[in-house]
Amino acid sequence: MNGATVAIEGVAKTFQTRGRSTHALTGVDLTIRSGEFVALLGPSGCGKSTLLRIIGGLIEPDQGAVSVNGAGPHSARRAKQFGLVPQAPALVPWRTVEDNISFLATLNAKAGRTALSADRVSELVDAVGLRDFRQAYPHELSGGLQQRVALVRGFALGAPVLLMDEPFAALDEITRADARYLLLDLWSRTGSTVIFVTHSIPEAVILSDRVVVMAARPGRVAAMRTISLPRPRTADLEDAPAFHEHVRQLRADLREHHL
Amino acid sequence: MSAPVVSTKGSELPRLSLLSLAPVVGVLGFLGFWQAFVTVFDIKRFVLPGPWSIVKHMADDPSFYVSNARATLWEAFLGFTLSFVVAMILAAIMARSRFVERAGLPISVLIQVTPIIAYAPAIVIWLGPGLRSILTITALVCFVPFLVNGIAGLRSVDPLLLELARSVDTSELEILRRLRIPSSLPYLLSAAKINVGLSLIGAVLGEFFALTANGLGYAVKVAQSRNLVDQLWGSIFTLALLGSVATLLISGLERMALRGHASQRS
Repeated sequence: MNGATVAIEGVAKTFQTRGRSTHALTGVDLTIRSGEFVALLGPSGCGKSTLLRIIGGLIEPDQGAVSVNGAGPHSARRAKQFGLVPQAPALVPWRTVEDNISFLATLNAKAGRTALSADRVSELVDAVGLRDFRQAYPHELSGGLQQRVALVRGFALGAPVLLMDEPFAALDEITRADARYLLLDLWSRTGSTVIFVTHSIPEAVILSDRVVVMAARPGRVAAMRTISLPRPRTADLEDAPAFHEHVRQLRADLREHHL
Repeated sequence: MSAPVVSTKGSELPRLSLLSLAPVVGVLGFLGFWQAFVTVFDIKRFVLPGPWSIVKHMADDPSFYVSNARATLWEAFLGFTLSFVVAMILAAIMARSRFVERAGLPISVLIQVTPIIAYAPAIVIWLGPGLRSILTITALVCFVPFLVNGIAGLRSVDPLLLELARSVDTSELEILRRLRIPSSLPYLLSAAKINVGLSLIGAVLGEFFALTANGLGYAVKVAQSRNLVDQLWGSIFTLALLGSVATLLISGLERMALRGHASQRS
């Protein structure tokens, strides 16, 4: 399976709340290559989650257009081209881990997108260490394990584009560090395009091919940095000078646009 | 230091089983107190019979209570079911539209705050004597708990889960079937627990007004007009028994159905 190219041109969005208008996004241009891992990095209120939802066809932009392998986001959504990984695990409480993993594939089944084969899904389940928990219910799992289920659920749909909205935000730092490498492992096995929203600089650096730095008021793309670290990424790289140089650079980018 | 550990462990088991017996102890204690009160103060039988003589009276003519209980239970069950179906259809519409919810809420508040006993005669005049009026009265008594819990239950789905479903273009109907209805189960079961009792009240009340010639409500009415204290208390005991058994059944059902829901209940 392969990813898809995502092209964003001149996207703008304004929200009206009680007579006040907030410029969530203005003039966002961005092209993401098929199979690329891109992080949207920025503080709260910079419109990164809004951009993610516009790409996924869940929010309509006021101006501009998004295309996924040439198709509009709505038709891409109808064809089940997006695997969403939300902020919290959001598992179905009355379904087992196995059923939760196949949940996105079984919804809207007539749309016809073929999910990963049972063998491939079982390979992903093993990769994140969920083999022994397949028959467990979500409330029997720790927060870290629940988030692994949510990750595998996103990939098991077999969608060419994965949209991740700060999926590790609720995890403690130690669990979070593990989750990053599990995510990279899943990504390397599927080759999907990943768009990953985060407000953690080290997380963006260790995961991504490219980091899009966003600024607030109005929400916009402030800088774009290509991460030169080799793949596969390992925890050792977090001690490498190149890693720290990237972190320093991004911190400078963020500071420049937020003071 | 091992001795006290053993002794606390030893007392753990009897304490648990004592706890599960507590409801039985409570009921038997109440009946025993009643019996003692009637015996000691020599209360006249036509004022307040003791529980023992009521049970003996019921054992004398069990078929009377069985056939009347069957009639009342059937009315309560039909009214309960009718109420559930209508309330769920309305809840599904109201959970979708704030406007319809706001428009419908005053009516459901009116149904709840106006004493049913006041407008039950009006229903009988409108719908005529018999089963139709009894079912309508029963259904109205159960309606608001089902409606309010239905709306709350259908809205109780995790918003992130709803967005996830929309991200693969799931239809509203499929979301209703696969997420909203299963999520509403705990809410509906607690409404059902309330409504088991209310449906019996509705059925008995309906029999009072709807000029039927059977059911425990009718038996109560006849007992009152002819001063049949035994029959009055026999009917009350039968109703209490029906209500308790039905409530226990629903509680058992709840425990079974919500095993997978454990996280939602805490």
